[in-house]
Amino acid sequence: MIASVKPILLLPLISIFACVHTPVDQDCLRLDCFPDIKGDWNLSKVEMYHFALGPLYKEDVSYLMVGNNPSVLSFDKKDFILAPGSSLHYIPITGKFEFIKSNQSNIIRLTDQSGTFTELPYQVLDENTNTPVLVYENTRTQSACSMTKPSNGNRFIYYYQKVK
Amino acid sequence: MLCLNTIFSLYLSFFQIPVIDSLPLGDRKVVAYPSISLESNSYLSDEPFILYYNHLLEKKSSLKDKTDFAVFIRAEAGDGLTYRSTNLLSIKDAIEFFMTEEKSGIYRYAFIPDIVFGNIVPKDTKIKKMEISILGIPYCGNQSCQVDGLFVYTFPCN
Repeated sequence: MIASVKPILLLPLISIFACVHTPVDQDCLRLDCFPDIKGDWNLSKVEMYHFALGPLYKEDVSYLMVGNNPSVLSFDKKDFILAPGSSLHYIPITGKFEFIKSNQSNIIRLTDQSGTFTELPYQVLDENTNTPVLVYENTRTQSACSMTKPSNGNRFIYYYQKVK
Repeated sequence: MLCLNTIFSLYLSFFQIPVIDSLPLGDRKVVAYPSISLESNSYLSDEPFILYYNHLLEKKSSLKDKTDFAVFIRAEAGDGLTYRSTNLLSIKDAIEFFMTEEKSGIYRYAFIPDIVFGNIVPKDTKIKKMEISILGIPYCGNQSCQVDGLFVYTFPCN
């Protein structure tokens, strides 16, 4: 009984360690190291969930957020550009990008012309197939008002398909 | 922040949880998403807002046989005026306000308040509050065609 409980007790400690000690591979932050990202991506789906409810209660909001002229997100060398089309986004539409990579996660950092950056945890699903899918989560920057309210807790998960 | 990102990434990697795309309505007839608690209606008007209606719990006999439902929204704006999403007389033709039956008896309506009222509320005027009625279609013009309750949601940051 105790033996079976121990790993559960260790989980919080492991989580804390993972949060504090996040090794970043500083040697490989160039696009060459992330060949799966380079190119154009078509927005195909958007989901939303509230942090207080958790990701189990995701809502498909593609109908509202993608529209009939989906956006295209392009990565080239150090620049990115988002052609928003009819889709709704809460990220800058142009600027520089860089990668933050660790053993635990991959993050794209988008920096706009004013120097404000947005960090998006991302993943490429089915990367070895003909239709890889880029997925990232976006949490909006909180306004002074929303920081005092339980609103603005929505998180958006964007799904893009690679343009062949 | 990095920590939260890491946890999310782990979640994506190892727990590919399918989209449930519905809230547990329980014994509640109408539920809004994202709902934080019953006491706190605090939303952003430029983000999706989703309303669920459980027709299976409907006790009003005049609504029991209805299969089409629409939302009618009154928005109170910063200029002190009240604006309506559409005209009640023509709501039977306003399919953009019809709820979708997601599964048997469970209806869903998703919208972004700022977009619905984008061409109705004057520019630079924000919505402060909205009151939503759920109407059985065809709408007969009185309470017997309306789901009991006026559902009120506020946008305190507008």
